[in-house]
Amino acid sequence: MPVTLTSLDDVKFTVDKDVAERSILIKNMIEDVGESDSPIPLPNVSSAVLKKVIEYCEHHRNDPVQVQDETDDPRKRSNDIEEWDMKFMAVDQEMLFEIILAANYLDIKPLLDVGCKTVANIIKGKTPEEIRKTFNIVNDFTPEEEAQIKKENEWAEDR
Amino acid sequence: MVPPSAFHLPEIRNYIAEHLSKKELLACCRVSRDWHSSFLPHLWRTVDFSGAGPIFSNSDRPDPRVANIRRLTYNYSTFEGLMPTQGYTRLQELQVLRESVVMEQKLAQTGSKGGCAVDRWHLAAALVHSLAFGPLSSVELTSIDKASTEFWEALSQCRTLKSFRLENVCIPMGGAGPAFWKICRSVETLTVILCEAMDCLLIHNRMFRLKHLVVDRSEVQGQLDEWDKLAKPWICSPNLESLEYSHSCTSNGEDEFHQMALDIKAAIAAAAGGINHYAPSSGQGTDGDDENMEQYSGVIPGRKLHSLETDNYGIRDEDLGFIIDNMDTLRKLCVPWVDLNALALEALGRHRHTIVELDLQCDGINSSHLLNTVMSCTQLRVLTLSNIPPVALLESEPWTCLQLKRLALGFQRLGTDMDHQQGAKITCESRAVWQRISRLIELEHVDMHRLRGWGPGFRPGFTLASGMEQLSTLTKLRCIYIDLVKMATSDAEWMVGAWPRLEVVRGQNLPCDHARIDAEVVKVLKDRGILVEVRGVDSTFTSI
Repeated sequence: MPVTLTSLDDVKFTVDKDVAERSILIKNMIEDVGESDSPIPLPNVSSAVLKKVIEYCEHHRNDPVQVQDETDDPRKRSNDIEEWDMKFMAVDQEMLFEIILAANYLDIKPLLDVGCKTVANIIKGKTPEEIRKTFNIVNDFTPEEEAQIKKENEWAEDR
Repeated sequence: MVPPSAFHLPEIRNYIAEHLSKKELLACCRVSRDWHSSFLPHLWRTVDFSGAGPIFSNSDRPDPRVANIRRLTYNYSTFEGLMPTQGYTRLQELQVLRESVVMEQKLAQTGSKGGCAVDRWHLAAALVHSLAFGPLSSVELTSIDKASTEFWEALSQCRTLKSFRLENVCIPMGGAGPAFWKICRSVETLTVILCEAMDCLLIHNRMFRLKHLVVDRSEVQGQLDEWDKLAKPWICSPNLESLEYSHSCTSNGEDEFHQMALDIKAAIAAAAGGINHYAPSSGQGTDGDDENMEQYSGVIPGRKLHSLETDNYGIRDEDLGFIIDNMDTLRKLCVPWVDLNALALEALGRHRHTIVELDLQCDGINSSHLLNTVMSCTQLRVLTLSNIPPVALLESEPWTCLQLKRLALGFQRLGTDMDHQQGAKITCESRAVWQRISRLIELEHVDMHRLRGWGPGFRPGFTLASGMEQLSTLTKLRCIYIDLVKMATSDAEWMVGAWPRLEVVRGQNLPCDHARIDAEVVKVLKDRGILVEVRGVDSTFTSI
């Protein structure tokens, strides 16, 4: 049975139930409300982002449900992203963050993971100044503070 | 340009931080004040206090940064300088380790160590002491040959410890012994690898909460017979769920390796506080028995389990009592080769309102007690009881296992010439058997041939002359396995009249000619549509 989703800008998307239920938020909504023809409003997600999210969910519709325990330990996590996801995430920064926010809101853990890994990969190998430039952040430290932070955390430099 | 809004949500920052290394986290901390506050806790989440660890100016003053530490590694060998001993309010995992002695000497020679005057165990103890009321749940000790008593005592204050891993650690026996044993009280997972004096740990500890035990390549110093005496303390691990036991040896040498390993397993099994799967390796010549003692496996229950079945000698007689005494509920107990001792019988009695299935044997001393206990199990559906002395049966109290559906009994033999000299006795005892069975009106299957390799035993006669008419109450009977040889046509006619649901009658031809089943009896039964089967030498039944 198909499910209709309505985006922030009132665009309707009709998708299969199993695709929609990759989102735990939607899955819980359907369970709570029961089968219904009325569309599910998603007031936090724009149609452009929702289109991307649905694309992801359709590609991953048959993935096994992620076991929480396996990903609980950050030390065991890997930054490897599979090829399809990598291409899927090759979007501008604004869209990347929109997807992360939508994944967080819709409770799609694997998509959130891929998004955060992509951001982490952008950060990797960059100096603080390069990070600021990349994400358009203003440095509000005094030079003294900056020196202090560097000194206090020197032990982490080569790790 | 729009600011990256996703970075405003703390949980998104946390997710991103989880994918970053220390170096990358440090770079993030230096980006801005806002980022600093988000990423610093992640930078400090795991810390290694060794030569390359963080530097503190004054170890006495609480440093707010340590409150971020979740996992701390304290390297005894390479540590130098100052380490805060307070303020670890979030520490969950502590790892104390020591590099090799060679490494230590090398460091000393190169003079790279300024902190040689520091009593590192004192520091470690102070550190651990401050963790006593924190959330510390996991401690790993690696390559610790002699930690100070102070250290063990500090550790013993940690009540929240759940996981305790010891690798290449000398387990303290003397002064620090009691402190060490105390540590283990709250532990749920204990891992012992390459440790000495492992037996000391196993014997003295009363690990009430232990669920998982791993013992690998650790040395046992105890004597073989000691283990029998020491099996009992294990009963204090009533929640044990899993046991891995491998490659551990005794200081007594290779010869006793297998026996020792088996005995430790048995001791652990005796505790059986919840080992839900227990598959010992091959037993080697226990009792010098010729029985097939190949790979055997049994299921040993604990408090949370309720069914126990083993083939042959899967459990030692003396362990069984501990095991069933330890169970919250017993539903099924099939240990036909194990003698039940007094504790086992007592425990069985306690469980008599939950037991559904039993397969047991009588031994000489406790037979009457066993029979009375078994026959008072109110929920019992399936019972196999062998090697019953007829005298115990005569003395038994009225049977109250009124739900019984399947009954198989085997009796000890009366004497060598029972057929001729004790005919009257057989009749008497048959009447006693039938009288008791007649109360069990739910019975569907009755097997009076339950013999286990002790030669022909006493078999109550299924004849009217032996009082069979008392069984007219068993209207639900469908299958019986009886002594057909003694039966006359009048008996067979009575049977088919009394038991309307009878479908199968099983019997056994004896080897001698005069002890064959009467063809007329077979005809009476078959004429009523009843299947008549005889047991062959290979224990299978064929219809005649």
